[in-house]
Amino acid sequence: MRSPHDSPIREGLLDIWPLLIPVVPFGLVYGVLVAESSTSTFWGWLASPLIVAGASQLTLITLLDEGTAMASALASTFVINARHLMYSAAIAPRFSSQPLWFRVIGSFSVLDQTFAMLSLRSEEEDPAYVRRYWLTMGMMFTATWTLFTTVGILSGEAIPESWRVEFAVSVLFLSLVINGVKAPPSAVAASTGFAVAVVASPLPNRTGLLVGAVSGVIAGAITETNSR
Amino acid sequence: MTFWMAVLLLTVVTYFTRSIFVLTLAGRELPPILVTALNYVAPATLAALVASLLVGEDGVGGLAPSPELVALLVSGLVAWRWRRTELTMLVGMVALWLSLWAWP
Repeated sequence: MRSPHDSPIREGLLDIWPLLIPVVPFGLVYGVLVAESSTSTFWGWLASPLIVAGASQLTLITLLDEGTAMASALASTFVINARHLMYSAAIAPRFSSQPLWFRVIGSFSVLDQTFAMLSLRSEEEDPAYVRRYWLTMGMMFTATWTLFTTVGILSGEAIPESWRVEFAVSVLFLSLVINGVKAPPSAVAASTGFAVAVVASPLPNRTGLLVGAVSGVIAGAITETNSR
Repeated sequence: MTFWMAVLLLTVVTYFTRSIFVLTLAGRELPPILVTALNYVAPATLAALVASLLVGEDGVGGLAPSPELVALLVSGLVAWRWRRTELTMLVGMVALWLSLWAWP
């Protein structure tokens, strides 16, 4: 049983570690792609501690490797990033009693995983406790993500291109979609996004991807609104 | 634009989306329509990405049977049944290698 007197660092470690397991293959794949791509290995590596957003980083490097123009690769990446707005808005009231330094630094760690864990905890927690708890999870996540990016880059040199490591990105994203589908509107959003992106794929510069994404968002929102 | 500029730009944009409400707009709420829409950004975008990576620029013709399509179908079943990312990635890659090897 947990009591409010438990160490926030211990609690943070206990809560975050199961969520670090999928980070291992994710980071390895990203690292291998960085090593295999023609872009700068150093900047590809630095992106991990700076950006700490696996799906965005993988999208950027995968699309650039496929020859997509920089502007459209970035546009897709920004769309994937937009979900952080939702986390930021949801978490802001809980951080409003925190000092500015913490809000500045803690914002780096507004991640899928830390957001999910904090959302499960009582809003009564002491601000100092929340700070240590949050930073523990954020630092553990960033360190793990960066570590496995590094391992991926180092092993990437040895992994032949015939292993098709880039395909792991598709498998990973498909798995994230299916794990994330918990209600009919998400299923509608995902299948519309997929279908429209297929049909629209001959559009230049992968515009079809954005058209598919936007159509899926609209279809999901309409389904939710109609089912209320 | 070069890659390092893209990395820095993405760093700034990502930090902005994470911090905007925490730093400056605490107490304000997103418009309900935006909250509804943001719920579907992840499934719609990730599914569109999978589609785009699968078919390239070939339209519906890109859905013709291929080792990649077989591997994605297997991965989808595994993800749906066991809901474990690491397992799905492992099975998906093995499925790809086997179907590449066995493809006529």
